[in-house]
Amino acid sequence: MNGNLHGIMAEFAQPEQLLAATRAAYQAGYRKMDAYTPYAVEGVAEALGFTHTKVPLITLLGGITGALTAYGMQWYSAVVDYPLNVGGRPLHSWPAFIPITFELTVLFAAIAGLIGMLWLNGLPKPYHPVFNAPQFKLASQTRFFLCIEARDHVFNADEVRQFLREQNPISVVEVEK
Amino acid sequence: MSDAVLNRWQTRTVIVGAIAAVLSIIGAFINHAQFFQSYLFAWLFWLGLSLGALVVVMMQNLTGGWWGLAVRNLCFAAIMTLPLLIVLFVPLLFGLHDIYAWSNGIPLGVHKRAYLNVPFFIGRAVFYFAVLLVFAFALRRRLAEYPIALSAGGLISYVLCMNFASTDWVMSLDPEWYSTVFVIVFMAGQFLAALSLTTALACAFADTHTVPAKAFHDLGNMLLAFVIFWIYVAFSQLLIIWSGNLPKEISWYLPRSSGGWQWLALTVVVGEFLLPFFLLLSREAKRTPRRLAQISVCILVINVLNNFWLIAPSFHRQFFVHWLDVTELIAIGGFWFALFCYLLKQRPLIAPELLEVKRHG
Repeated sequence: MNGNLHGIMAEFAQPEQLLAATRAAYQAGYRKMDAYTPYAVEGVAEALGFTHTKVPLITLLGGITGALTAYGMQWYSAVVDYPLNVGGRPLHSWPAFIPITFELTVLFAAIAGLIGMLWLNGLPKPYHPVFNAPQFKLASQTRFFLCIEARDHVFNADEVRQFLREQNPISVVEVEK
Repeated sequence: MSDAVLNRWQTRTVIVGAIAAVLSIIGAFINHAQFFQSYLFAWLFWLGLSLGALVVVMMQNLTGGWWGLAVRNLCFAAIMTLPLLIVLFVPLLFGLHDIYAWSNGIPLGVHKRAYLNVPFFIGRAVFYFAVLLVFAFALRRRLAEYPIALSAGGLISYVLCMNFASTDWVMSLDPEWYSTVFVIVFMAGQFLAALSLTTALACAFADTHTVPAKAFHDLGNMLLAFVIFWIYVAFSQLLIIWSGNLPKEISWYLPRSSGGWQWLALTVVVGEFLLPFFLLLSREAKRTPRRLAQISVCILVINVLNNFWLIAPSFHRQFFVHWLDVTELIAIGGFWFALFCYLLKQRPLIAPELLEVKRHG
């Protein structure tokens, strides 16, 4: 097997063909694959088996961290480190702590969500092998691509090439790493 | 829901309402002050459902899209119960002296006296009802058109009316107290009541094969947004008054945060904000009608308690639930639901526009 192979990519003229090919590939047992399209095609993400993302969980954890940080910080400074009598109010005046807690919850959740999304997407990525495919610049214009990657556990270059040819593509090319 | 089911519920709710009404009237002879105090609480809760529904429909007309289609016809039925609630306002007028301290000649400033007096109070109520009725019936006549100008005018008029109505009906329970954000807390409560009831009913009775999951998802998101909005405005009011710590301003919160009422307040915060907030974060919960219905019912039930917490501490220093609070809530509710079922028969439960959306993908 060619150790320098990233995957095998098929080029389609229509989004419906891509969708059908993706579904067929998933049925055939391929999992490590990705679709590249000029615009979001409804149903492709599901067809790729992309049903769950960890971004909401990361956002939630970020929010909880923000809330605890903000409340803890205010409590520590107002009660432990520098107790100050403000108009006779208790040192632990929780209503006054809420706005900052709310703000930091939102801030941490948003930043965690953004960074988590970029991290899970593998971004930033200065180099990606799919750009080695000669026609790939059309992925942002008029063509729809499906790439089955060599790291898939049932990947066999000949079978994949054969399989993709049966999906009625414009072309099928090998993508070098 | 078929007409047969609605007919059955109409009969049942009328019977339950009538029994509760008889008990309440007996109670009125035993303790007439308590009767009117409970009546204010019960009436305000059911009024909130009708007016909140009016806001849901007018907002949907303005924003377009199909987020509100699943509850549109349920909301229309709720809006058209408004005439019943206006009739049910009349008994309150016989008990104003038992409810509002300002009507008993307590010392008030000259300017307050000019506003808080019985004739002007009644005149204002007539005015609010007239305005709201005009918009309710105009909306009904132009149901299919999604009238934008009418809805914009209606929303503005609703907010202006509620600004004074919430002052008259709730804030003036403590004539010394004022809070300019209170009207927003009050309206957010009405909106939550209407949206949670109609969402629960849509989840329970809509055919989930014909209604897309996205419709429920949107309603869940709207509920999530409004529990956050409600706690946001309710807390801003508390924070400002707490920070200022002025005698006239804290007079509202003192009875509501002592004598056992603080536990009711805590229940309301947990049940109408914390619990629904965390449950509604889940995408699955919003797309599963059963789960969404449970969350909506939680919000609705706690909304009743929230109304109770607003009204009752003005009359009882210690936490206290009179049996009339329960029977009158059920009495007005029984009649309200009977009329609601009757009105639901006029249109399909789920707006046909939504099923169109589903067919066209």
